[in-house]
Amino acid sequence: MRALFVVVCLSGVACSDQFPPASRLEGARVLAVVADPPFAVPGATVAFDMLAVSQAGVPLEVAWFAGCENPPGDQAERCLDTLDTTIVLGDTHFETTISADIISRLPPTPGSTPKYGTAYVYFAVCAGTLVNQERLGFGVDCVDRDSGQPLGAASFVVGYTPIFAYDDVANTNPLIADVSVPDSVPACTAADVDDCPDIDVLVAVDPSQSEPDYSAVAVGDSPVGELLWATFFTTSGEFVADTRLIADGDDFRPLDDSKGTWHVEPGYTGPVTIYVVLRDNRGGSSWTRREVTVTAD
Amino acid sequence: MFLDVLGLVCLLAAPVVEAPELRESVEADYPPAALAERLTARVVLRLDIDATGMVTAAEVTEPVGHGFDEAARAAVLRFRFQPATRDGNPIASRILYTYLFELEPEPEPEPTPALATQPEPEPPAPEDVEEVEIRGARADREVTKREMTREQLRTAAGSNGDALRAIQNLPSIARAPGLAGQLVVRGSAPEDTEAYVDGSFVPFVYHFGGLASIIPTEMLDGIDFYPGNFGAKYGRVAGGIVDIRMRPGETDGGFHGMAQVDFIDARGLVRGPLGRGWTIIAGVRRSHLDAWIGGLLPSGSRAPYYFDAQLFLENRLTERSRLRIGVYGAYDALRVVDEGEGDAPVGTVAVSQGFYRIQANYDNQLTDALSLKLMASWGRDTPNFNVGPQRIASSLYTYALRGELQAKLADWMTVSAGYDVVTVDYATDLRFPDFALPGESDTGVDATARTRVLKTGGWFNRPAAYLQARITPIAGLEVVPSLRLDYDHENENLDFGPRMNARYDIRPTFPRTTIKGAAGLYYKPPVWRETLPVVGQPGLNSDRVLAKSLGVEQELARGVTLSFEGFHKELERLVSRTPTEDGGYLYGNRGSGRAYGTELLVRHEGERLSGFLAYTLSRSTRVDQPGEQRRLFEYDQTHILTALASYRLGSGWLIGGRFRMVSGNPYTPCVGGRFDSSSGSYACITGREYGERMPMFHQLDVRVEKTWAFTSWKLSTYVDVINAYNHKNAEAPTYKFDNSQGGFAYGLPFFPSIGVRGEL
Repeated sequence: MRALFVVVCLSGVACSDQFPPASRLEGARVLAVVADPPFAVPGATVAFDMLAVSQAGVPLEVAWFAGCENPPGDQAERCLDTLDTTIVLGDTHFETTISADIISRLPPTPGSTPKYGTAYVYFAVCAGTLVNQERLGFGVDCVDRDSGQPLGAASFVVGYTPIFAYDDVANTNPLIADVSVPDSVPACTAADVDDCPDIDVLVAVDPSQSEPDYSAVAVGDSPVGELLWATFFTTSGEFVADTRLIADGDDFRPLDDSKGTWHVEPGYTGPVTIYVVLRDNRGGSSWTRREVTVTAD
Repeated sequence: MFLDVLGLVCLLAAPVVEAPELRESVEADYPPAALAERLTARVVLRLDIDATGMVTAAEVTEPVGHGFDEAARAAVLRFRFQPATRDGNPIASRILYTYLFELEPEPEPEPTPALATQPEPEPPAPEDVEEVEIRGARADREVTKREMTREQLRTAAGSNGDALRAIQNLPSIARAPGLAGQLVVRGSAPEDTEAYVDGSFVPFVYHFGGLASIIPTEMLDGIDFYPGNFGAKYGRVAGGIVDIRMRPGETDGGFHGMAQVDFIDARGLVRGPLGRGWTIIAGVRRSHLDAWIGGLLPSGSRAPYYFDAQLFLENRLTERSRLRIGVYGAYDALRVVDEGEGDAPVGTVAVSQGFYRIQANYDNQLTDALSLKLMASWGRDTPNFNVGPQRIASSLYTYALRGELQAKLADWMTVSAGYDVVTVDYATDLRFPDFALPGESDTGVDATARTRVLKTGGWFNRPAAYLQARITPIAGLEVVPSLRLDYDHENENLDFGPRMNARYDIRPTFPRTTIKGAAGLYYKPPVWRETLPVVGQPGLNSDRVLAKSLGVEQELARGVTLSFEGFHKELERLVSRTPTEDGGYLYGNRGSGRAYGTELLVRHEGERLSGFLAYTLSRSTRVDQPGEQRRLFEYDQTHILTALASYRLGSGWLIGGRFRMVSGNPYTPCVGGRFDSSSGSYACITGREYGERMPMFHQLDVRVEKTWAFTSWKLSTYVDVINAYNHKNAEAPTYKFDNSQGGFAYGLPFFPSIGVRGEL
């Protein structure tokens, strides 16, 4: 029946309440945090680079919070009970060193997958002022610089990035070979963004970027392939499908099946930035951007 | 187009179908004990009459006890009828027949009563032929006696003519989300209710999403539904039981067939004699949904499809014995490429589930007081689930044996003893993240979820033995004590389940008043994922449920009955878990729960109009760990109102409707989100556990059917309209990509389904 449900929905009947798409960049957003390396050996230093954007160039305050290792059930939210959330303002680059005994101090792991440790680094990004007061279980809030009033989700992002620690299993960040999009596109004259013309954004990724994954299989077993997917963002309009699968673990999908389809905002002319973030399913990521001009003719 | 077809067919002459007519009746022996107590009774039986007018089978549909049922059955089996005819040709038929046991007023001053047993043939409608009934209890007098009559079943709007789906209309069952096929019975989890085919367990009852059941209505003889406090024959579940009875072989000497096609599937059925006393009934069905929605799914996907088939051979070896051999099975599959859409994609989702059974049933009425029933089945279940590189692939060979010996020791006592053995030989290849249990925040199967790997196999054996007595110590009172002993070889659990049901007719004659009550212990062994090493913990105990119910039944008028019942279930030793530092979980029987409520049912059975109004007021809660706050059960529905009716307009026209108004399910809201950079999506910050409720559900479904009967075949067409007034029913919460705003996904809008069916 789910399929029927899908069909009825696809037939044009609104089957759920509608929200602004994730691809439309408004307010403060964190699009990616690239960890280098995404899989680290115990005791290694890991560097993080954040891709954060804000509307109209509003300055962002950034703070990082490290020190959570091996939370129960690997659940990031379990870090909140012990995490030190004292605010030290930083920038979009951060480094931390994970404990040398992050794996060895664990009890024997059930199952025959390679033994691992997990660490989480939290971050807060605010289009106002960060203050130490609790919001939704996290000890940091974002308030207006002038009034001191708490700001909403459009101005405040709290997130986390995991570090996976293995003795013998490696992972590298997948790289984007090329993003193909016209340098300039005509403005959309339609009344609704859904009716604007499709503009293809093609993402080229070398097949070698889907690495063999030994972390998900028993020791000694043949590896499975990584999943790779691209996420699209734009400062004008929206993407029809904001997430496209590049590799499904077995094969790379045809370029036409993994492209982003962009609709310009009706009536808008001027510069547009398109961001493409590529991720694998083991914490690896990279990103790139393209500048496009929307012209009146 | 549809109306054009209707108009064309209306021009064709309708044939004349005559009901069977009673020619020779036999007076039943008045049960001595009932006579001594001056009890009267009205026994309703279902009679199978062959094309020669012989009664080939008689089954009591509403047992009344006190020996009346046996006496009436013995009498009607000796009746002779003028057979039913279609355009003058004799045909087999099935009718309802009411046998009255009445006493003349006690003469004054003479103390000797004059007896009068009076056969009362009910004019059978030709439509009674070849229909199926669902009932709340079969010949065993369970405490809960609810029925959907044949008429209600056949015209149940919104069920697309599917008998098994029509179960979901019955009281005691919560509304499943959307058109899902889950059976949530009296506040129990869906997995707490099991389904059987002629006594053999089957792993699923509905094809994907509840679109259709695994056995077409045309193959069914009946469905026994036990919402709770069932007898000792059944075990290993703490919720309800659905036992599907397959259709018996034909006895009229001719072959029959049926073909049907609608928007969803096409099916065919054939039945007839094979010679040497053997009869055959075979059916096959295949959905064709994939043919017309496949192009709408992402590239690389395959639209869902399902298939089922059944083949049964039957031989009435003697007048008192019957052997039935069958093979049946079902298979569903789909493959969808998931792109994520604002969330981490999971890649290709490929799901399939299938099973088959080879089964034999043997029944023998050894003597008038002794009967034997045996069942043996062997089969295989193959659930497979692939999500990107993660998978669960299982193969389970199942062996089931049942046997029951029933002896009537005295007019006031019948005793049954039986065994019920299930052995499973399994192999599992698992590469999957940890499963979230109810009450836990589900991290889903997103791409970054950590994986557990397990390749294992083995077997387990679950034997059970039971003893049950039916005692009528005084007139009007029937007590059914029973005891069931279950052993779970895998976890070395011995579960001891005493049960007691009782009914007392305060007023045994019209308008009958009956009070009823039951209490018993029920057990459900832990499910496989909870006891497998690596992903679970071997040695867990069975869930234990103390179930009690108390109610009253009252005849309000001829054909109008009222039933009011309260139930209470105390759930103990439920499996829950706590996360550990190594990324795993520690399982234990630390959860508990409670479910209670009342059920009101008013039924009307008329010649043209029949239906019922059902209302359930209930509450179901859970405590996942000792000391934790009690929360609402995820399927808790405070109010469940169902009104179901059908009206026979004449000239083959039927119209039916179903109206439902049900409280929304509780859910745990997202009150915000945190950005998970590894997946690129926002993790939900959960609010109070199951602290919000979906909006109230209400919906009207309508069914219109027209049947034309010709000389040798019958043509039917119907329109089944779901959500006739197009109400937006919220089915699940949805959120903005960052979980900062919430809304709802809605169920099916106005949706008509049209079907055509031909029958020989």
